[in-house]
Amino acid sequence: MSNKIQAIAAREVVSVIRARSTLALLMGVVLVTFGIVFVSNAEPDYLPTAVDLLLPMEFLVPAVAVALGYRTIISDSTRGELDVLATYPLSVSRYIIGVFIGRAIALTVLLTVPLVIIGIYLATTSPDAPTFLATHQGVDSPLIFVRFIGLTVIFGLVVLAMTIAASALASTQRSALVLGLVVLALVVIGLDLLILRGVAGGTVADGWLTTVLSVSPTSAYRGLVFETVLSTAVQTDLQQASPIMSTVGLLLWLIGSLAVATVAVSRR
Amino acid sequence: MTTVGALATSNAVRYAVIFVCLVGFAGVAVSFAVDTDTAEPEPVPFDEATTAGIASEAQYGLEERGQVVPRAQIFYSQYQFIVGYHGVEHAIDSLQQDGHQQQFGYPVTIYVSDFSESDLSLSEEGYLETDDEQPWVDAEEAAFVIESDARTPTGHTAVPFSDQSEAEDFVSTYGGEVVDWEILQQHSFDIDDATVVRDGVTDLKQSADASVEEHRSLSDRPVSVIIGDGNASVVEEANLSVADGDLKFMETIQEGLDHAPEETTVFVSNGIYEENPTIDRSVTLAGPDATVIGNGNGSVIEINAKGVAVTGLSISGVGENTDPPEEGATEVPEHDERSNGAEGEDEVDGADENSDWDERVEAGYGHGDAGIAAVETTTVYIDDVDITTPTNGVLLRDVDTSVVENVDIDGHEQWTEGFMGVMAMRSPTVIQDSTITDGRDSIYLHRSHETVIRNNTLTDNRFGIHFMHTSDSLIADNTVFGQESAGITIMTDPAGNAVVGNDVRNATAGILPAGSRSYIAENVVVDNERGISTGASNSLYERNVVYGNDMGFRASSIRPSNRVVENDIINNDVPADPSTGPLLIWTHEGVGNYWDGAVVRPGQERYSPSDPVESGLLTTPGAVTLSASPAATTLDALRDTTPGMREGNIIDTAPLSEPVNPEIIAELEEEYDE
Amino acid sequence: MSESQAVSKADSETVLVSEQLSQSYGSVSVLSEVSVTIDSGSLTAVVGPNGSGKTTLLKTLAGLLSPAEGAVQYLGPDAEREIGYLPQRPSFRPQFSTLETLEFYTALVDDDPEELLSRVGLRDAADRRVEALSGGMTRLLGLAQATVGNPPVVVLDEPGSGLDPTMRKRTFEVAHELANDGTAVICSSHDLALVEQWADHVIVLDGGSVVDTGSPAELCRAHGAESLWEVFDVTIEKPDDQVAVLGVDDE
Repeated sequence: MSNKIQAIAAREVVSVIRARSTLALLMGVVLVTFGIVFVSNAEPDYLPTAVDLLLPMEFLVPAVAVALGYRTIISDSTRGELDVLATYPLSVSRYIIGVFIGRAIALTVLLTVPLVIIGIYLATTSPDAPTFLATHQGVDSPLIFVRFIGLTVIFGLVVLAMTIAASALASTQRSALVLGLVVLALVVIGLDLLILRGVAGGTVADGWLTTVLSVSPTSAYRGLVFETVLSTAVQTDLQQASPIMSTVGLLLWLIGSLAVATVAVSRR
Repeated sequence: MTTVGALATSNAVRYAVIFVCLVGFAGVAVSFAVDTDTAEPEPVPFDEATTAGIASEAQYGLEERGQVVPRAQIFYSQYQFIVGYHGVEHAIDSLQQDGHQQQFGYPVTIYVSDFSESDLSLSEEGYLETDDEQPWVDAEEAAFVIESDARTPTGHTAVPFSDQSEAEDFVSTYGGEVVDWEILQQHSFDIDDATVVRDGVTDLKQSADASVEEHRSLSDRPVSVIIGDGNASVVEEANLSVADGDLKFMETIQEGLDHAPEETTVFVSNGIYEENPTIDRSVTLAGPDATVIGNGNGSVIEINAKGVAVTGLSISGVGENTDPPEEGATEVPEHDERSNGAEGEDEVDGADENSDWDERVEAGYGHGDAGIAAVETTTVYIDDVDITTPTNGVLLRDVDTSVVENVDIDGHEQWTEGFMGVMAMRSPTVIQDSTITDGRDSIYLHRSHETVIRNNTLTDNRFGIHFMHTSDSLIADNTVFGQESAGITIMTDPAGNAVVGNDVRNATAGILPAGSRSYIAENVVVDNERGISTGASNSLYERNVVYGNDMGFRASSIRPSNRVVENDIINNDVPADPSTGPLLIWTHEGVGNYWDGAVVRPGQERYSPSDPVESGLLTTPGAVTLSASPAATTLDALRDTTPGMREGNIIDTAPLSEPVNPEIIAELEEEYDE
Repeated sequence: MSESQAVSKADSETVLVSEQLSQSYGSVSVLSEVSVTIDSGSLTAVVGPNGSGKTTLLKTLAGLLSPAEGAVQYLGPDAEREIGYLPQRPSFRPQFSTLETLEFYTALVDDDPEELLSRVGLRDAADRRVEALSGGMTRLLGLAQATVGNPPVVVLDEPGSGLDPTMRKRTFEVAHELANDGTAVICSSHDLALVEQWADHVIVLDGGSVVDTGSPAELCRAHGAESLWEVFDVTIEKPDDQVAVLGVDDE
């Protein structure tokens, strides 16, 4: 049975591989990440590199996810292939899951390969140090970077799911692009702006901030990075984010988006 | 079956993908589950740690006498070097500083010296005495004795024991109480810091004034002998009195010196005298218009007695020798209660001159020919003397107290050939109101603690003022110009020096301090290649005007420990260079420095002079725009929250909007504007 | 007149039934009260002028549209894929070859992609990418796709459209073969000659309603026509040179 999901997913993966824009997307990721790490003055340590990459990732990852996802369902739809697929013993949910998995594999590869290369570079370079002085590693460890890569991929997957939902809701290619951009803007800035507004206006009480932050996927991602990656360097009692709420928030966005997409497609 | 078909249907592919995903997922899950704290590192040999605490000179002194200081070494989470502390109290104090965690991260592991197995006693001053070596013990497992009689040169200390009962034994003999690491971390130790040095400047000035007064009285001695053509009227002209008994008249200075009773003045009338007089008794040699020309062999005037003054002479014909006498002939000063008169808190009195390092320096610098040489004596006064010399001008070695004022020394034009203007070795002194030109170093000090050097004009040397192993001294209000290497340099590892109010220009390095707990303030440093280096640690650099240098400030310590505030840093090609080192925060309690490049933008309050964008704010078009971009500002903010993130960077979190010394700056701008 | 071989009545049974089917887009009525019966092993052709609602009827019969009123019932045997569908303008992912495209569909329902390609005559185009296919070849691919998994019912919307006469004939031959194998084939077409030749059953649709239905011979007899064309001419209302646009000429 899962063969069908595999078929759908394989189709998506091959489509991405054969699309002309994919190479450009990969180049974009490589340019930004390598640019940050190699060109800027970043220390060749895991933690400073993660810090330097965090903000660019908040823009880059949603951009890549939207680019990968906004045309998935709408193109099947306008081509009429959705109708054709409807005649096959393929449930809508399996279709959506298959599409998501296929694009998710592509997204994971696009994000992971450059970051892993950076990780290997970090593992093999060490900062200049006077050799007469003893050094130790502090709390800089590859595990920190692995966490960062993991969280970044998860963030990308959530935005991908949101974009697929947007694609499912759209009725034309054009409106799919628009909706995709809306998702992008919302994720990258909009939700956070709303939260900022809420805090400034007093509607978000201090105690609720970490919970409310998890509503925005970007802030949830950022919060998780703070708490699990950056906090290893600092001992504070002040929580930067609630890891549990952030994870829950991200999961809800992921599952909810896929659910929305399923409903949208089955209503066509 | 095409590849696509295979991908779409093959079981193998499906399982492979699932497998890879599971592995990836597991890997990520593990990375979250595992505690990133590395296993506790083992302690390192102490000389491989970058150190802080008492001065190394004091350290050597202690070691020689079998005395020790409880040490600590800390592994910080975000600082790659292990930091060693001479004195556990320094470690505690350091951890309590503002911004410490931001620069170093938190302490991952701390080891302290374990005195459990050591045979301990306390010296008179309270220093720990033992011949045993102390192993390391984890601080969290140690018991500490505080508020006992135990001290280090900088104050009270905490003595760690791995065995609590040993700690309690110590308390029963030496007082104090036993606490654990947690309580110890909250304890506040009274450690002298650079602000103490700042407060001490007035005291130093006052004691210098007193010393000058005292020494000046030597020039009031009544005249007993007149040398040369002068008659009795010169006495009155010189505002002096005649001694009891008859005035004698002699031909040569040496004759006069040999015949003058103690506590009188030998007056040299106008003229040229070709001799190398030696002063063996407590007399004053005065000659306002006399010229003494030596035979070019050895020093011209040698002072071997105490209470001797030389005033008014012009001296030349100094020998060219800078080497010590042959092997074995070096006089070894006796062990006695000889102290350098310096009872600084963190250096040990010089009862032990037999150490190797001291011998080497003495051999290198302490035996050259000089215009006036005073050795192994006390209370020497030199006033209003002109010296032309290819080697030293004035040489003081083991002179307990002395004052050198109003002298004019001309050294060798090639500094590589010349030697010191005033050389003071183990001779605390006051050098003031003098002019020294050419030669190697204008003023060179070795172990001459509590010296005051003020109001001198020093020009065209290698170093204007050169300190070696000299602590607790004051360099104030000097004008230092055109130095080949550095205007004012303090070397080795002394403590407690103050460099205040000097004007240093046209050197390669303006002020180059080293050591610790130094006070560098209110200097005007202009047109040098490098203005001020922050080489002294735990020091205070404030209210300096650093103008028109190639590089204004240069941060040059591996450990961030200095306070650099309220300086005016203007018109330098590079305002401040962090070299390699951790983050430096040049703000204290909300007060930073005045930078001409710190354009304060709305919402942007911090300034990073070392940031390539921010340091170019005044010179690079578009830099202001870029630095205000959301990307730049949020990246900045993010980096500041995480320690160790801004290696090789200087930040001022509250740059001043008005300069601290506007009048001086206005003058400089007028002077230097094209 | 029909060259089709009559399928023995005993083998055929009703596989699809529509009962008073009505469909509308907004306020425009597209189908009204259409009732048809589709038997297995037969080729049913829906004919009518442009805009008469053929596509809508086919889509509704294929289960892709829900009727506003009435019902469509599948009465055929249980199968993984019950109804196959060829849209009026078939389109596939351009970067895939024809074989890969069919491999994808046969991953959803078991079948032999190479055999399917051969059946529609595309064996030599197996490795050609969809973006490089002519319109006719794409339509053949679509035809192959419609039969993936051997569904008991196959719905073909204008399968011959855009094909040259030989290909168009081939299409009908394939459809006929399918019917011979027991499949209920429903198609729409403008080629009345081929319909006359191959269809077992014809439904004449005009303005959303069934005007008449029966085998080609029956229809000719009923309307006193020599050919299906004549039947068409007689039964269809001809508005003055204008194409019928549903909703504009209200009846």
